[in-house]
Amino acid sequence: MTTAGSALLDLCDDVLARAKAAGASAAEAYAEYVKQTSASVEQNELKGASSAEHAAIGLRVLLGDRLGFAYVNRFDDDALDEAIADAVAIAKASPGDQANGLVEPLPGKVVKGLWDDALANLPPGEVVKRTAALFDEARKVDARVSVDNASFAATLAHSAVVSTAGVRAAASETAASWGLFGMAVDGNEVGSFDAYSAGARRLKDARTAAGACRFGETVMSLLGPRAGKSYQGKVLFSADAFCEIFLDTLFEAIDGDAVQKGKSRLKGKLGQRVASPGFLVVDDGAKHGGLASGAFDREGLPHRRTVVLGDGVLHAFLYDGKAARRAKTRPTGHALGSARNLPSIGTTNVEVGAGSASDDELLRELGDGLWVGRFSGNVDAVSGDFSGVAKGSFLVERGKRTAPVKETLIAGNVFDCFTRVIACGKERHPVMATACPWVLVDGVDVTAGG
Amino acid sequence: MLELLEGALAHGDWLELRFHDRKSRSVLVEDGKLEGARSMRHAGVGVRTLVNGAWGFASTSVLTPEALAGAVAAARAAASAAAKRRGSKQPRLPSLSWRNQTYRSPTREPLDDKSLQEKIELALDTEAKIKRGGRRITSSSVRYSELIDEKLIVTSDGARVRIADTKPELRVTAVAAMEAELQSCTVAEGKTGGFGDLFARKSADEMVEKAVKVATDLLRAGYVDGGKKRVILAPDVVGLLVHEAIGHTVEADFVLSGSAAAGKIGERVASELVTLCDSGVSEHEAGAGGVVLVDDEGVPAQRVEIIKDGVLRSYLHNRESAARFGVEPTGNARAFEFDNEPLIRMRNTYIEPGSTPLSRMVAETADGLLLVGAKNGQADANAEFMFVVGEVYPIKHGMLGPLHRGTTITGNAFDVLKSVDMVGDQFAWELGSGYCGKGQPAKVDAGGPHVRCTVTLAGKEPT
Repeated sequence: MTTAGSALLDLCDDVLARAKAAGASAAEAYAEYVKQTSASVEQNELKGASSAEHAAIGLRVLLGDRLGFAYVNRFDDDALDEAIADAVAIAKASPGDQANGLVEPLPGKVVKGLWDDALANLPPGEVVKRTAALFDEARKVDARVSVDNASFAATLAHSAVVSTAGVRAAASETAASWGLFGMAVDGNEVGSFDAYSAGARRLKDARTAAGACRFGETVMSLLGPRAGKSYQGKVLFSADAFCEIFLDTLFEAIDGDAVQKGKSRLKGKLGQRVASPGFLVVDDGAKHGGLASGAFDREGLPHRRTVVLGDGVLHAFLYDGKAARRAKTRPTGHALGSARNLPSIGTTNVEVGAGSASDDELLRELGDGLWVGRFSGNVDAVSGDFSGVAKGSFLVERGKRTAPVKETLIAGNVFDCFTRVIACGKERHPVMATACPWVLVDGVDVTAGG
Repeated sequence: MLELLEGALAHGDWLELRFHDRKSRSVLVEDGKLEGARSMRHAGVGVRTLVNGAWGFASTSVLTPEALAGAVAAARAAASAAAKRRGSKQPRLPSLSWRNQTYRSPTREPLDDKSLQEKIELALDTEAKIKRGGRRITSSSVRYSELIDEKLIVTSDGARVRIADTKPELRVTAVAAMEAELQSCTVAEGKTGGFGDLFARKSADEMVEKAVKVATDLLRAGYVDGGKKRVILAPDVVGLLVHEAIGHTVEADFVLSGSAAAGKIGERVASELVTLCDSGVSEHEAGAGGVVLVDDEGVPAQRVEIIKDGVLRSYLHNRESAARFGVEPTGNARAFEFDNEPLIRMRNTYIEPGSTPLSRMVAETADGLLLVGAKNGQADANAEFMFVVGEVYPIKHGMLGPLHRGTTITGNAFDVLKSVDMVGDQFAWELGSGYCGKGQPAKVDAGGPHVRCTVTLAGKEPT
């Protein structure tokens, strides 16, 4: 237990005692302290640096089955008492709900690899140096690369959660995050922009140069776009595009709260095949050193490994305490969020099962068609209908990416497409906390404009 | 507070201290249950400094002279570290004639006039009405939220500006089902002001009626074909076009990166029917969601004519970019909360109304579509955009057809603006709910009249 963690636990204890004195029958306090040192390049020039400290507490109070919540970022007596009074007043003004309550503590394993002293103590000068290096690496690719924004941030965070139901936990973690956003500019031609972001738990794993170089190569490759071709059929999705269109929608559909409320097309389909045979999706918030791993979830329960889809069959919905009470099941350790909000259900580290084909083999299997690098559009999480522009995308001719496309729209239905997955690549690409291969899908409408 | 901030100014370099006290409340009701009611207080001081040509930023929520001095030292240390590696140095900011006063946004029926209980009941009652909207309605939700802001901006070069405003919002969502088919519709209003502003154009009941009807009708609606089409954009879709596809390309920081608007001042970029503006004031109709009477650098927010009669006239600036371009700052520097640095952001972005009634626009369209219901949108550096619209109504021989399913539209924004051949005579702000994202959120609004132009649609054959 760190000193900071102990201090946050003491703060939570103090707030719970005050909440009980103010009339709460049960309560939960979640406190956090975050320190972030960052620097940014803007418009191809190092702009400056920032040092931000943040401390806050979120308080959930219950009056029987009536719930109130308040957040405050100051810890003086007046501020805390005002927040407690607000939470109690909200609970008094709210109708009751039998699903309101607090979770009972559950044992969990120790999650390793979440703290790095080197990252926690990184001085501002070193953060500035790493930020400048991101820009330098991207510009090394070609002077036509224009970096609208690049940043590197070193973050340390301490958190604690205590409840009158017996939950009591504290943890500390570090993370580095970095990214670039920009485009290539060649005379009067402005290429399509691209964004790259990544993160690591330890400083020695923050391999920024390769990502910056990839960003530079990507934006350069997007100069000189051509009109695409209209067709209906097979489309090859990059990891980024597959995550944005398909995985994010899947995660909304397996949210236990959405299932209970009839907003999920997967309701009633546990144990049924909803994707092509062989298709695998796993969530694991207890993975050692995982970017989205944590010692506990927003309610203080341990994360765990959850197989969501196995061999195309739906195995699990995700629950926090409230959704689990409604569904008369147990919470799965998927309550996410900060002190600012009530817990909500979400995923952590996600892995999509790898296939056997190389990326080049997937392109050859597609033959002629579209490779989608990024998606700018809308997915209706309820119906699964999606439509939008294929950004950073390429025409594929005779198994090779030949030219970037412009104003090319794709449309389809996520849930139908899951049953039309033809193949997954054997190489998995990181998309922040998700590892996903390229995925070849059939039945997509492609409309070429331009 | 003024004394506390002024006490921290005793340093040589340029310094800005921005106190921001935000109180917010939100109430979410779903399927007859109060899913969450929340009170939030987020207050503190953001400190920005310019040392040897580089920027430094720090923030603190502890409001004591010692904590403020610590934040100033942290900002200076960060700026000094950056200055060692910065090539071209940001020059001193040009001096301004400050209008030091309290800027208070106009408000009809202040939010404090309703108790917490009444706000919770508003959400509960509204949600119950959705549920009563018909047997096809299977899920419903209502979110009421409000932001109550007070700010004080003090700079070492003379700003002493106080700001107070409130921004309420109501979102109404209906989900309708038929066999395995699910369709949804969200209707939202977000305003600057009070309840009189929030419900000035649509009552909560009217929002419910619209959400229920569209969600239900979409269950039986067909798809339109994709391809290049003549379309009439409703004011909400016009708002998306001018915000996402034009507005971001004329933010001066993005211009410096090489956006599609770079170097085009004085060039014809749109039909001569188009005059496109961004204003901190609510032009034409009171209560726009992005009202900013003075920005977060203390600069009074101007009405900026970005495009005048089809010709590009101005970018959007903060103090830094205005100095680099040799123009006056336009009051577009905005920070979401005290611990965010001010960035160049839009406020209320719109096309000036023209003279053609909607009925004539439809009557004079032989083959086209009316696009309504802006859902979301994004634009690229090259002005290529993507918008999602929720409702599509075919127009054949000057007659409006039945509702079809929503789709995505795309095109190059400047090409689309050049294709404008009719501009409607009725104006509306439509995008005051939700937030614009650019590393940090911002409350903005956008709108205009109906506009006829040409875009590309995604789509598929009716099933």
